[in-house]
Amino acid sequence: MTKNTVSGLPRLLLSGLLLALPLAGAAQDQAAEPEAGAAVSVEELKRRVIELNRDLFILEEDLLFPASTQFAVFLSVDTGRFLTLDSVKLKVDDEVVAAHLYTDRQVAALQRGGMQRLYIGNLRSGSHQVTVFVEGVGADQRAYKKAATLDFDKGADIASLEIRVQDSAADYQPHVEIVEWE
Amino acid sequence: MSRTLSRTLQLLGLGLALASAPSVAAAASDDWPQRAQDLGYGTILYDHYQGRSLDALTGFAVAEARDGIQGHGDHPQLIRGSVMLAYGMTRQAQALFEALLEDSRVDALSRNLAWFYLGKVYYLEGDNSRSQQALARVTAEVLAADAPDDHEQWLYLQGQLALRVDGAGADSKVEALVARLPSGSLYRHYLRYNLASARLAAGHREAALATLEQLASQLRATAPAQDGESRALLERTQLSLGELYLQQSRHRDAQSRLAAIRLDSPFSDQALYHYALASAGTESWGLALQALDTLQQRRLFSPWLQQVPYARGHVLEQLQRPQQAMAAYRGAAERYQTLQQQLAQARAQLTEAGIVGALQPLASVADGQPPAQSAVTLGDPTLGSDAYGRLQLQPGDPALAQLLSQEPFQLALRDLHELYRLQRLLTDWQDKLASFDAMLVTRQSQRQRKIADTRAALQAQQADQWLSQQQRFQRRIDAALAAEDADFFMSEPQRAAHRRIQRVLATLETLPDDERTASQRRKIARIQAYFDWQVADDYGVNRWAAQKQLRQLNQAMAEFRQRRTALAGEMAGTGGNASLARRISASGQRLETLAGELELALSQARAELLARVKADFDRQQQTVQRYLVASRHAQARLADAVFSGVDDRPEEQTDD
Repeated sequence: MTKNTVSGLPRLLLSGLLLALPLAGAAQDQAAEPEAGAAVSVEELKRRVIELNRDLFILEEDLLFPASTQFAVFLSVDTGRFLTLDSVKLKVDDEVVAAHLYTDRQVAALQRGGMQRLYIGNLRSGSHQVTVFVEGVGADQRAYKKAATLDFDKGADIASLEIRVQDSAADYQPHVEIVEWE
Repeated sequence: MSRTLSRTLQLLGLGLALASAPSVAAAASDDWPQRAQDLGYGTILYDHYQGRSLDALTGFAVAEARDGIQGHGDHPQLIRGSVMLAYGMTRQAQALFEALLEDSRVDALSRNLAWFYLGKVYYLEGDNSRSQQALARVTAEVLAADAPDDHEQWLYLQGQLALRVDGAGADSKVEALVARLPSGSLYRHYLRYNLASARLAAGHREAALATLEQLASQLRATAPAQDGESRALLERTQLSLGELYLQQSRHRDAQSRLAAIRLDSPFSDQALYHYALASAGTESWGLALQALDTLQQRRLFSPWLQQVPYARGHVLEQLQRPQQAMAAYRGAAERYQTLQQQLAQARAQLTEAGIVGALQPLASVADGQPPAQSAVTLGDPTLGSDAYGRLQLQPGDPALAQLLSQEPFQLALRDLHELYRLQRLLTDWQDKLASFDAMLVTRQSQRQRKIADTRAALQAQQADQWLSQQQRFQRRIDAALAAEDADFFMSEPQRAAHRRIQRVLATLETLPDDERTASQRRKIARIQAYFDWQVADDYGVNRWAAQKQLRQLNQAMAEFRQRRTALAGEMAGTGGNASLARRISASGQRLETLAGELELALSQARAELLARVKADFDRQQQTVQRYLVASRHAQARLADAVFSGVDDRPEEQTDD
């Protein structure tokens, strides 16, 4: 009796183990069996929500930022070897309109070529001044603080500016400039 | 450790689909221009690289509704398709890649990538045949040069498909694909692991063992210590080896493989348990008991640990300690009984909130920071997820530990989370639309006030009088022109002179008729004749000056009339507010409809999740019941033996 039980135990336990420990291939087969009906339904809902989101996004811009007064500022990083962004502050006509602290994920997204829309607002036609203050850490772990200013004329169309944080191979320093998009 | 456990379960337990996940995003980075040529596209990439697929897809839709994306050729469409894949919209992605491939204007490089992605879509949908056909259209050299990571994934997917279709029959083909992958590539290691799995499934145990040994050796040689995924795969391989050796009763081989697994490894529960079994096989009962005691001290009660109380009794029995063994079996039975009751109660009281409450968020992988709050809220956009939208969670309740590592549960949880996110988004929009409405009402009342002010200002200008005066001037000038009335067109100095002459003539009329007066009259007659001649002579110039002034007046009045008409039109219209109001109203209706459908989908997803958890609880209860029965039988058997004096060996002192 004892013998039977002793030899039976590992079998019981092992059978439990084998049930609970599928090899990766088996686990992947699970992944390959989506529940078609529910998946289609959720995917269809996602599609329709994206369409609605698009229309509402456009409506919001039309309502809040009409083309004649719309003013947007974007920020890009190229390539970020000499400066890891920490924070940025934006002034328009001496008034702070935006400030942002960056997470690692956001910095990585910028370094890969993404562009952040830092600010969108309304600005009347005429002459304006934009100033940006960029803070970050350099390749040598040194704290950097850079600023750039641009005087520009806002016309009757959308005005878009880009703050470019660029590496300069000439002096191995980060440079900040503001560029107006046509 | 539990954090690592959960993450690794996601990485490995969910199979190799995850291994391919990073390359979806990587495809965009490898050959991507550093600077976006289109601001909208730049922001889409910013969202995409942060894993915000919904925002990125909305960005694509907005760009499509406007001027499209300029300066990047077909690449944005490929990225859009890959974002759709990451967001679980495989059918949309499929349609997009198929449309790209049907478009003859698409360049060869993009077509190559599109075939690869389409193959991946079919693979994810389980359509092996079409996936193989699509992947076969990819030009390997072009893909390797254009997107090296995708090229590795392409080789890996072909291997996976061969295994899916032919199992171990695809042996040589898969070996050839493994050989083409770089020696340090994770795809190579995963493919080899899955090949071993297929060989095992086909009953080729020795071949499977050889493959796993080869993989373990290669991973030990190439995997850097800090590479968590490689290390986890190595330990998973060692665990599988240990398990297979155990099944072959090669206990010492099993022990050596299992001993190489770290105590804080996500697989250490299984490894310790197997180690206990292997030690029991070599009759190293002390080692077996040590391993089981280590397991018993662990807080997390995984399904593996459910076996421990019973196994402890067994090991003590083998160590010839019947009293301790009986006590261990009794303790095990009590524990199983309590667990049964807990599981039954948990099953009866199961709610969605209960399930979600039993989960905890993992630290954000990208930021490396622990979450600010430990409670999970489905729909929370800050909740971390992998490239396929699976939530990065760990079990707070051990009963969910294994369930959480299973793909169907993960997918059900992902869908529920995504539906909540969409619902949250719609609620935000509903709030915004309400404020847009209020904004439009305010704009409308401001507009009415401005219209009233403008009307008052127009009335103050007495515009009608100006118009009638202009018309009067026009008539008089026309009449003078017709009559060639030179006097009418006299200049101001001429008019002054004319008035003076008239005054002199009037004065002379009152003077006595003497010589002096006659002389004056002759003189003034000469002056008047000269003046009349001068006026006649200047007629052309004067007429032109008057007509010029009239023209200027007419122009000014025309402009005035135009402005008045525009103002009147503006005042009579709605200033674009009506169009905006219509759009707001239509959006509100769409929102309402979608919110209703979302609610329905949510209740379905909720029911599905609950059903899965209940089924898992049932399975756990059955397992626990088996151990409960076995513990009681063992306890009874030992009691029989002790009382009948069969087992009369002396009880040793132990550290138990």
